[in-house]
Amino acid sequence: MSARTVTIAYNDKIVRQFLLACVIWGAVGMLVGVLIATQLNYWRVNFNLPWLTFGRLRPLHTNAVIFAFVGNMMFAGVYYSTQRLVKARLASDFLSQVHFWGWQLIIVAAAITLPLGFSRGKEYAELIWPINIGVAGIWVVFGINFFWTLARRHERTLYVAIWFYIGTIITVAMLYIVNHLSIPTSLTHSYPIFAGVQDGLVQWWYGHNAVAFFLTTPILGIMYYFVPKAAERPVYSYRLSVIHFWSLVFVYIWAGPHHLLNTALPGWLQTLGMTFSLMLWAPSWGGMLNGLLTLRGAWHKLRTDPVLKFFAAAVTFYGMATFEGPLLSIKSVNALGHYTDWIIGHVHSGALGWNGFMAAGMIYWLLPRLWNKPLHSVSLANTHFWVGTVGILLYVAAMWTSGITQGLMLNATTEGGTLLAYPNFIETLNTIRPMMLFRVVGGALYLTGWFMLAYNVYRTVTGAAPVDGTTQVFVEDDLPPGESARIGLLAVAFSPPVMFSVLGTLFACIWMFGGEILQMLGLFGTILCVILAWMHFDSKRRNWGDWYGRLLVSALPFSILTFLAAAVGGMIQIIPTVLINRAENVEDRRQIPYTPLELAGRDIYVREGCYNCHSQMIRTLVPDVLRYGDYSRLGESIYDHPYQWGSRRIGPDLARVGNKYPNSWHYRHMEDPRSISAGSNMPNYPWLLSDTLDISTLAKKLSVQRTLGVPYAPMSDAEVAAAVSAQAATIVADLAQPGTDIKVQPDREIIAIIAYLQKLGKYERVLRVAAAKP
Amino acid sequence: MFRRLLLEHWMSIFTLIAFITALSIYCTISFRALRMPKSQRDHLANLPLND
Repeated sequence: MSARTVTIAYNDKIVRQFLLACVIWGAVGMLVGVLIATQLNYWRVNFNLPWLTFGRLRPLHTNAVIFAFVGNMMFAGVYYSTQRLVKARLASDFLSQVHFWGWQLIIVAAAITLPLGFSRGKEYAELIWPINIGVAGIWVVFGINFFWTLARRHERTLYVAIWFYIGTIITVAMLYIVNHLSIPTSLTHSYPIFAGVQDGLVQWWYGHNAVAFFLTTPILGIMYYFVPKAAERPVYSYRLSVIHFWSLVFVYIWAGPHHLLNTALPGWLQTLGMTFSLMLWAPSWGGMLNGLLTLRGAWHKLRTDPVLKFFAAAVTFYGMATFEGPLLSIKSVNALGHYTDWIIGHVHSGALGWNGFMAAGMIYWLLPRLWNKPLHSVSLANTHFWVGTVGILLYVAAMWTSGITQGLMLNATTEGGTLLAYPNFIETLNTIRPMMLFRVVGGALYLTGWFMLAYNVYRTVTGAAPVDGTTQVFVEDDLPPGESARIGLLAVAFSPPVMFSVLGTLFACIWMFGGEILQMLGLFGTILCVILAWMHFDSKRRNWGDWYGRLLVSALPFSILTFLAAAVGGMIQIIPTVLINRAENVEDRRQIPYTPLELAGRDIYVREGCYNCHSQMIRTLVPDVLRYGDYSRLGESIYDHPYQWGSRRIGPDLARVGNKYPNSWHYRHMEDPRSISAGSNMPNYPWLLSDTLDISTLAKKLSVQRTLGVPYAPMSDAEVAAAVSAQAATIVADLAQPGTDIKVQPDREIIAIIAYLQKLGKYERVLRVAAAKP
Repeated sequence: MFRRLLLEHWMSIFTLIAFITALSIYCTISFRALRMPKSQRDHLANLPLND
């Protein structure tokens, strides 16, 4: 055996860059959050300007916090810890710089396009398709840089934090690509390939797992590295961390449908989403306890050490948020909490408490090490902790109170459940206004704390010399005795555990989805696989253990198996729904496609971000039906690219608003909502009354919709223009009737949005006999 | 059955499928984690402290 000592100089420049970007974008994202929270209390803060309205800024807030703030924090933490855990410098300085500047360019592009109204109309997936391609490209650069570094590692075994990073990289890539599949209609616009319930399912498979694999797993990896470092003791239980990882990767991916409970989503998907969400309690709390117990024997340090304070509070908030999530996934609880501020409070206990405090703890720990200078002010960091904690508690408690209050009021009935106790939606909104104001105060406190951190960073960095870490490793060229050799791809594919798992899943799918004979075959095959797998395991126990040991030191096969673990849940949920949710399979009701003018109006609805406040989904709940009309059917949004079911009701549901009010009502409401609904907090939309409707790309849009399966006949530009003019003329004539006397040009955007809103809820009956053909 | 997936609820079976799936995953992973040799556990757990 030959051996030598190698000196490794880490690339810490990239860590410093991402860390500073995190501080700056964190401040921007939170500032926008405080602004939009203020808008909900004081509608005038929308300033009657399109690019400052709530509907356009809310996506900017969520995208900035997720991708800019937590994204930059995650990259800093991943790059710092990975180099040290695998004892290798990052593989490519060039790729690292491409990663950093590419990501910042994406953030700037998002900050420009979202306020301008360029949006795909799906939450946390609003960015337009050219930026989507940029995100995917930069993510690939990140992945190459990461896996290339693993390939050059001097530490054979992969610490659990690296597992979490691997899970993040491959799962986020899968989620992002599938949910952003679109067909462009222009450089700035596209339609997603999925529609209605398919789009909703894919969206929340992505949306929920963006929380899981962008906001949770990488931060857990960071927790498993930085908490032991800060506490100066190893993780409480390495075994528990292994269970934590695999359980999360396998189970989290199934939970997405809990965002669509009591909706038109097929019942089996709701059941799976709810049940798997409850199963998540166990691994999440296992991980939380592992993090907290790592501080054993170091609790006394929390009095003075801000880093440990932040980490302890962050892990506690992780536990709170992962308790609340499954709770809200129980259908009956969800009936109360969904569409209310309770969900907003839940999200922020995770984002501010878990992500934000982990970021703060990591930054305070890294600063002295990356700039070789003590932190400017420990007492200021401690003050930040307390100001931030009070801010979160105020925010979250206010949102809990607000959400439960509004949920109870919206669901309350009288007269034996036949009448709504609070039929006026505005009444429920105005009741929670004090709580919405407390949210602003809580958010502002948290932002103040972040500014303290930014000042501390500035003062620490000023005049300090950046320093890159180095280490010496003892490299053995041959495999030490007793250690497992790495495993190849083929060996993974044909290993007994993988083969039995694949075959078992295949037979189980045949059992579930096959015809009568195939079902029997599937059942028999599944049972046989289980028996054979157990017999094989029993007789070759040592081989199975050896195979697992070799897998743990083999990054690529490990990554592929992680991908399969994460992909299987999504595939089982999404593929059947995509295959069978077609117009010919719909029973009861089927959506009538939009006319060209209505489609143009819908695009304006998406542009203005109306889905941020209005849902289009009447749930299968009595209070929903009493308030908004008959519950929404699966087929009533089957041509909606993108779906617009929404996730929050700051205003009422619009699924059946068509023909509920006259055209003049909508005109006046858009011009000044308070002239129609006293006390409304909706912004004015004066530009809709003055801006000219752009129909130059409408024929192309209809063509793309036709490609996606919407039954439009081919139309030329002239035919589209004629159809638009004809329908607009009827609306203009109606508005000009005596009594309303609204004079408006037929080519204004307001006409298109009125046409769209008046279409909502229109459907055709489908005979069951016709739909029942195989 | 396949087409009816869209229209029927299957509450009685999918809760069981979810439970069995999750339980089998937890048991398998716990078994593997419990069988990790102590030397391997100690080595891995101390990696963050050895840089």
